[in-house]
Amino acid sequence: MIASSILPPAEMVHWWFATGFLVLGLLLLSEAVVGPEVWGRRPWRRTLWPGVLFAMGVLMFPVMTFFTSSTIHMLAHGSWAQVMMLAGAAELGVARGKLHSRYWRLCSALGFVVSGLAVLVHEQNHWLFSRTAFLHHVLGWAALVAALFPILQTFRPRSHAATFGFATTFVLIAVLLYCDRDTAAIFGHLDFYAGVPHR
Amino acid sequence: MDVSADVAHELKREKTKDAAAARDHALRARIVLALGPATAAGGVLWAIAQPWRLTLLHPFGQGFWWLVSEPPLYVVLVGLLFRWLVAPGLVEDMEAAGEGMETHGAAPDLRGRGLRRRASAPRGPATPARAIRKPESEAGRSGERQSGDT
Repeated sequence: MIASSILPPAEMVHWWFATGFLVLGLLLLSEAVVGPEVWGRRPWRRTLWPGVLFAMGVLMFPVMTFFTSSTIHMLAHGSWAQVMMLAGAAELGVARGKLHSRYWRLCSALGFVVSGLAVLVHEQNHWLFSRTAFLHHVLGWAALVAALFPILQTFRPRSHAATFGFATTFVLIAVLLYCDRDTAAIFGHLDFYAGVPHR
Repeated sequence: MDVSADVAHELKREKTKDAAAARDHALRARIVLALGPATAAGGVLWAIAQPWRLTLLHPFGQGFWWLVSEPPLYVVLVGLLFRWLVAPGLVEDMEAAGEGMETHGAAPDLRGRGLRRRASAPRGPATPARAIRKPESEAGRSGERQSGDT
């Protein structure tokens, strides 16, 4: 009871992670614009976005621990934490030269697939139940579709479409997460059981 | 006579190619420099469209978390930090990579756009500008990657 009263509202946690995804999106977009050779000229820069991704995975564990409204929420948050850490760690290993295979990029694809499935499975309401429900459905499908980009990057490393698609996905996720509200209407629809809307 | 004409045509082709590469180089630099301000502008527009999201504008009666969470400001902050911390180094490195072109007088100097060259900034050897456009080496994303599985 005390813990729930000092916890931030869930929508705020979404905004904080949206900020992390926005950082990732900007870093990946700029890498896509300048190219990997220029991006890799400074060693710290190569580890920048994988490090942010890994840190976001670590920070997802407190979310899993404290936001236990249901078992399936806890499992979803736990799976995101693990796949984000896995993808971040794989990219860190590649950036540091410890890992060499291009197939490590598939960890990012796995991250998208697991995240997308977790979002879709743990959102049990229909699309127009509330804004949160709608955004969860969009996020889930967006993540599943976006898994194609790292797969394409693995097998077609020179593909600009895959590079920019991968980067833009993070910006899209950030925008969707910023749109999240605990209880709000979506396109004028708000289910009776969703609760009382607030700002 | 024919040989001189061939040399002249070759030089002209080289110059045209260099000029095109320089334009591409400048465009990329401008995009990188614009990413941060564009993001910050998005945050400002959001703050104007939904001023109630900024509880700092009316802080009385707000709880701790509502005062901490200012999402439009987060967006502005991310944009500004990217512009100050990441973009200048990237443009410097693009310039360093395009120094070959600058010797031909083709590459524009972007240092006049408020960028300071840091003497201590680590910088690799100058790379031909065409290498910037090469999106990916055969081995993978970073220059360090080699073929083979780990």
